[in-house]
Amino acid sequence: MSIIIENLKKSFNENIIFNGLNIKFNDNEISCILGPSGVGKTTLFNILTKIDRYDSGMITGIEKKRVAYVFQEDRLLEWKNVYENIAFVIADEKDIKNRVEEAIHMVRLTGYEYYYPRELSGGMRQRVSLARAFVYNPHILILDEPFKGLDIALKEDIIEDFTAQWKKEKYTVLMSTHDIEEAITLAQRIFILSKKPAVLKAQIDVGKLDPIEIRNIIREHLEEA
Amino acid sequence: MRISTIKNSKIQNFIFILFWLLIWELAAKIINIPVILPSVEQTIQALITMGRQLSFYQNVGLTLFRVFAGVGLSIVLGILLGMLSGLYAPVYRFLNPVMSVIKSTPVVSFIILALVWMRTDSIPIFVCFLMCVPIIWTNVTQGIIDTDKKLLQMCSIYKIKYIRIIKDVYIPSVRGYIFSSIAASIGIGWKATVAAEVLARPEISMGGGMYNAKIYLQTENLFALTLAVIILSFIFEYIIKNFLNKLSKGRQMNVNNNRKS
Repeated sequence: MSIIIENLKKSFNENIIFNGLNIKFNDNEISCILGPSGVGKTTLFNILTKIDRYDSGMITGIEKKRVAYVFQEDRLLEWKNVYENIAFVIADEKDIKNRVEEAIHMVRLTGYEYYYPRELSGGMRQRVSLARAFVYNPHILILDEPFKGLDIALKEDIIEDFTAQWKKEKYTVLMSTHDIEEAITLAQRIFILSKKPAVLKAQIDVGKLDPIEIRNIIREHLEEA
Repeated sequence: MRISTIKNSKIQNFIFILFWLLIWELAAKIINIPVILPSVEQTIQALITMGRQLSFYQNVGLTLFRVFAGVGLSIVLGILLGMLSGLYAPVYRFLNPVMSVIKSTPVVSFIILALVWMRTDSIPIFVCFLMCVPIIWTNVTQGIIDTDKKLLQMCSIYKIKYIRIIKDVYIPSVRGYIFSSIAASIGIGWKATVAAEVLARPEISMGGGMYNAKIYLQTENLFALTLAVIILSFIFEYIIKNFLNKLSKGRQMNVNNNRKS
């Protein structure tokens, strides 16, 4: 079932974030949201995961689903090591050791299982956060600028493994990024939001256009936004 | 800090302590009435004399027991009530007036009330407990409230069970607050216990010894017992602070061991 957002309204005091946003994220697709900083991408994700409330509107397709969220900041437990942080979200489930080891391998952190967050770089911490989301086997995976801070070679490796895993598991992915190439590489659909109050300016079906056209459309809309 | 700096500060500390001892000795010589101010030598001599008697160690032993009992009870109840208050606002609102009153009430008021309510032997433990429990409660409550909301949001999204949130998020978050409040309580616990012993005068106690020294005008004994209390207080604060530090660092040792294996 798709995630459908209808007529979403949200303000923080005088600041109107959404004033009737309508978006539909298809099931089993990677959807990427692009927009200027501060437009409300994180707020949208927070609303979908019930961290924030919204003023009015309707959201369907996410209730009772298993959701994993990779935040902009890593949100690791400083007193648990890498292995324990990842295992934390599946502690009551089966086959923990294998699943955690697979997730650690996917983010290229093998050998760092017993390191604590304070001993890791920012990029490594974010990778632990990614691994934690992957290990959870969610129906819906929300990624808020997940590859920020990673060097290019490492990012490509992780994206490659992530794509392979996604093809196997086919979960619904909502992600935000400032990297147009990342969006074109990963997403089946790209959504461009305007400046506040955020509305959907454009929706691009990536499979139907060539990358040059997609880049032009994105740049055109982001310049206007 | 460089070793030479540490050495220098230790030497400095020693010199300053010596300085104050000299001031004390000088004042005693000027006043020249031991009943009002005994000298350093007279105090130490009185302490040595007491130290040759079994009754001194019995007094110390029982006073120590009362301090540990009072502080121990306050740790257990302070942590339990503090966690409940931090997690549930109605519990906080229920307990806050009580804790505020206890914090504001002079210790001597509790001692006098306790003289009416309970057995002499129990009064110092009760008073020690009352003086320490608000400190621990306040710190633990604040620790729970200060727990990183972002971590709690992460737990909510990953549907972590509440009992695991308490065990794996709240308790580790509050650990530092607990340790610092225990360290703070030791000193206050000692003072409150000995004060209660002076007024309640249980049969075997350091405070009772102080009271006797006062009525028999044995001021050097009073000073000697006070010095003993100060030394014991320092020793136990030092032991407990080191123990708590080792507990905090203990996980790092485990990490290093795991990596080697």
